Amino acid sequence: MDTTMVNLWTLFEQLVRRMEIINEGNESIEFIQVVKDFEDFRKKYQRTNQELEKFKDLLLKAETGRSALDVKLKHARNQVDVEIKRRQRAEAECAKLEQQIQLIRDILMCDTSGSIQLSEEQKSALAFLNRGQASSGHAGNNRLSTIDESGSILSDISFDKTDESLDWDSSLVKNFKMKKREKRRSNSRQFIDGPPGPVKKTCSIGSTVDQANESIVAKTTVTVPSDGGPIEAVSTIETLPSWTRSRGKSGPLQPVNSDSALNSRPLEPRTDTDNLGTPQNTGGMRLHDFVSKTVIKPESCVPCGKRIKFGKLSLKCRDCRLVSHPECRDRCPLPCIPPLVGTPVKIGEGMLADFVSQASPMIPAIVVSCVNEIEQRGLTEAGLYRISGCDRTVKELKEKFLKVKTVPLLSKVDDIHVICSLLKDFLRNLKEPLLTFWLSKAFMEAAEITDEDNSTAAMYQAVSELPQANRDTLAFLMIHLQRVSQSPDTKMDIANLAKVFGPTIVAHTVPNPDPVTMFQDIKRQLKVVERLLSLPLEYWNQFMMVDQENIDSQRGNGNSTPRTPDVKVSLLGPVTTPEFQLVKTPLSSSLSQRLYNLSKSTPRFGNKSKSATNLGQQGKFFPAPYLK
Amino acid sequence: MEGQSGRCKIVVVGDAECGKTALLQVFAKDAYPGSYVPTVFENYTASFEIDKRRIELNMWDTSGSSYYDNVRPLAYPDSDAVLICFDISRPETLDSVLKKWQGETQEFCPNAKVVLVGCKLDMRTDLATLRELSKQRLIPVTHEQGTVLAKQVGAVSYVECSSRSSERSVRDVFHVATVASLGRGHRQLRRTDSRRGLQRSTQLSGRPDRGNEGEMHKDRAKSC
Repeated sequence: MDTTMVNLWTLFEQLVRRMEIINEGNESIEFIQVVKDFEDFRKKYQRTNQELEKFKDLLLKAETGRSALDVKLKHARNQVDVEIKRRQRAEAECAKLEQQIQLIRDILMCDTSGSIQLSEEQKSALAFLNRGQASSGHAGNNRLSTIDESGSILSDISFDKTDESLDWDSSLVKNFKMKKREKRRSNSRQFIDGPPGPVKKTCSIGSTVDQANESIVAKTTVTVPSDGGPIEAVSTIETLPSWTRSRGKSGPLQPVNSDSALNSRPLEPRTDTDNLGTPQNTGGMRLHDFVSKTVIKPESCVPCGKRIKFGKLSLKCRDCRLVSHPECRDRCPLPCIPPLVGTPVKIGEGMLADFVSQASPMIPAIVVSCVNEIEQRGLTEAGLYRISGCDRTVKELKEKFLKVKTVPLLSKVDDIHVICSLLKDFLRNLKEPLLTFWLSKAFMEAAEITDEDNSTAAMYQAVSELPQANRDTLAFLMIHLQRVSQSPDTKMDIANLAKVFGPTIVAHTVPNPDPVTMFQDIKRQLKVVERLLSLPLEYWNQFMMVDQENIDSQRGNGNSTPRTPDVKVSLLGPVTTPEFQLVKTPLSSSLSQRLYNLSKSTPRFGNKSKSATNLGQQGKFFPAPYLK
Repeated sequence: MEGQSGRCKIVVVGDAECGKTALLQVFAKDAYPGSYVPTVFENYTASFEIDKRRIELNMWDTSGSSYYDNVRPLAYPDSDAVLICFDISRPETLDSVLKKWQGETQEFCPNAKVVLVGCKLDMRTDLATLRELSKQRLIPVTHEQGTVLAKQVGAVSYVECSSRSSERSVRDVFHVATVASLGRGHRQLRRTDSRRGLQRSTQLSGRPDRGNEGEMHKDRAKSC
C-alpha cells in the first residue's frame, strides 16, 4: 500500500517537473505527451483506489471472522472449565470409592488370612476386589474421554492463534512471540504448575492473554492440560517442533492431529532440555524425582553414607525422600519406592500389602533397600543368604526400618549377612507368605510338571494370579536372586538359593501339616523356587517396567512426557479379571505364549489403577511446584 | 537305646555353614565335600568299631537355617546322640549354641547325649580369618570357651575337629559320640586322648545325672 502511494507520488512529481519544462520551452508536441501521461496517471490512480477499496472490504470481513472466532474461543474455554470441574468431581468420587474398596480389601484380608481353611472364600474375595479395581479403571476411562474432548478444544484455540498471527505478519511481533513462548515453557518446566486449585489461575492467564496477544493463547493450551492432571498433561504439552508444525499449517488442527504430532516426536526435545530424570539407564524402572536443596540440618547421603555438610547442595527425592550428594545420584538405589503413609506395621503382623506403597511397582521399601545394598557390596560374599547375621542387629534394624519413615542407612551395617537376614526375616514373617496360601498349591503343582514347557506355562499362570504387590515383589526378588546366582563368588547357585528361599516364600499346602507332608512340601517348595529362578529374566523384568511417563504425570511433571496411545489403553486397565482376559486373548498360539502375554499385560493393570487413585487426590490434579 | 543293638543314631545340628555336612561326609565318605551346597536333610550310614564290636552309625544331617526349624524336629526322634556343632572361626555360632541348639535338643530329645563340636579347627590359626575377626575386635573361639560352654549346656564332651585338614579329628568326634551314646566309660576315651597330637578332647568330669540336669537347665533359663 505504502509503496504504491509512493509510486504515484513520484509519478506525479515527474509530471509536474515536465510541466515546468514545457512552460519554459513552449513545445506543443511535448505538451501533448504530457497530457497523455496525465491521463495515464489518472487511470492508474483510479485503479489503485479501487484496489484499496477492495482490501478494506477484505479487512472488514477478516475482522468479523476474527470476532466470530473469538466468541467461539470463549465458548470453548467455558466448555473446558466445565469439563475440568466435572472431572474434578468425578475424581473426588473415584477417590472415595477407591478408599472404600481399599477398606473392604483390608477387612477381607485381615479376616481371611487368619484361617487358611477359607482359601476358597478368600479367592472369591480377591476376585471381587479385582473387579472393583477394574471398575475404577473404567471410571478413569470416562474421565479420559472428557479429557480428549478438552484436547480438541485446545487445538481449536491454537488454530485461532495461528490465524491471527498470520494476519499480523510483522516479523518483529513474531520474534517477540517466540521469545515469550519459550520463556513460558522454560518456566513451567522448572516450576511445573500452580498448587492445588490453580484451575482459576490458568484461566485468568488465558484471558489476559486474550487481550494482549494471540501468541499467549497458545500458552494457555499448555497449561490447561497440565493442570488437568497427569493424563492430559502429556497431550497438551507442545514440543517445539510440533508447535512450529501446526503454525506452518495455519489451518485448523484436528484434535487427532495435534495428538499425533505430539506422539510422533517423542523424546528429542525432552532429552536435551529435561534434566529431571536420573541419567541412569534403568530400562523403565521407576526413577527418583530429585529436587535439589540446600542442607541446613546435616543429613547422610544414602548411596555413599557420608554426611552432606551444612550449606551444601543435596538432592532429595520427592517421592521416597532419599537424600544424596549430587555426585552420587547415579548410584541411588532403584526403583524409587515412596514411603508408606499411615501407621507403621510391626514386622510379622502384616500382610505384604501393608508394606507396599500405593504406587507401582508395589514392592516394600525394606526389600528394595536390602536388595540394593546387597547388590552393591554383597555379590562377592561367599554364602550370601546362607549365613545368618547377628540376631540382635537384625532385630534392631527391623524395628528401625518401619518406625522411621526414611530409608535407614544400610551402608553403615558392616555385615552384609545381617542385611540378608533382615530381608529373609521380613519375607518369612509376613502373615501370608510371598506366594500366598491359596496359590502355594498351584505353584507346587506347576513346579512338579515334568514337561518343561507345560511347567513353565503353569508357572506363568500362577504368577499372574498373584496379587500385584506379591507379584512385583517376587519379580524384584527373582531378578536379584538370579543376579546372585550368576555371581560365582557367592557360591550360591539356583539350587542353593532355592534351599534358602523355599521355606521363606512358599507356604505349606495345608494349614497344619503333619511331619510327612511337611517333609514332602519342603522338596516341592525348593522345586518351586528353582523353577521361579529359572524363568527368563525378561519375564521378571517386565513387572518392573513402569512407564516413566505415567510416573512423571503422577508427579504432575507433565512437561516432558509425550504420551503414546497404547499407554492410554493400558491406563484404563482391563475391565475384566485376569482369568476372563485369558479367555478373551486372541493370540492363542501356545498356552505358554498366551500366558506370557497375559501376564505381560496384567502388571500394567494394577499399575494404572494406581494412577487412577492418585488422580483422585486433589494435589495430583495440580502438581505442586518444585522448590528451587 | 543303650547300645545293645550295635546301632546308634546320631543327629548333627548347628548353625548354617558351620561344617556339619563336611564333618559327616569326611567321616562317612572319606571325602571333603567339594561343592558348596546347603543341606536340607540328609542321611548317612557308616560302621564303627569300638572294643572289637561293630557299631552301625546312622547319621542325620540337618539344615542349620532357621527357616527349616519346623522340619528339623523330624530328625530328632530316637536319636542316641546329638552333635551340636559350631564354627570356631565365627564366634557368633557359639552364642547360638546356647540360644538355640541347646534348647531345641533339650526339647526334642532330652535323653540323647549331647556332644559339643567345634568345627573348622584349622581356621583358628588362619591369618585371613584372624584379620577379618580382628576388624570386629574378635578372636576365634578358644578351647576354654568351648569347654565352659559344653559344661553349661550339659554336654558329655567338647571336641574340636577339622574336616578339611584332619580326618582323624573327625573320627575322634564320632568315637566320642558313639561311646557316649553307648554308655561306655571314659577310660577308652582317655586313651584316644593321649594318642591325639593335633586334637584335644575334654572329657567333662562325669555326666550330670537327670535330676541335676533339670536344675541346671532352670538356672540356664534364668540366665538367658
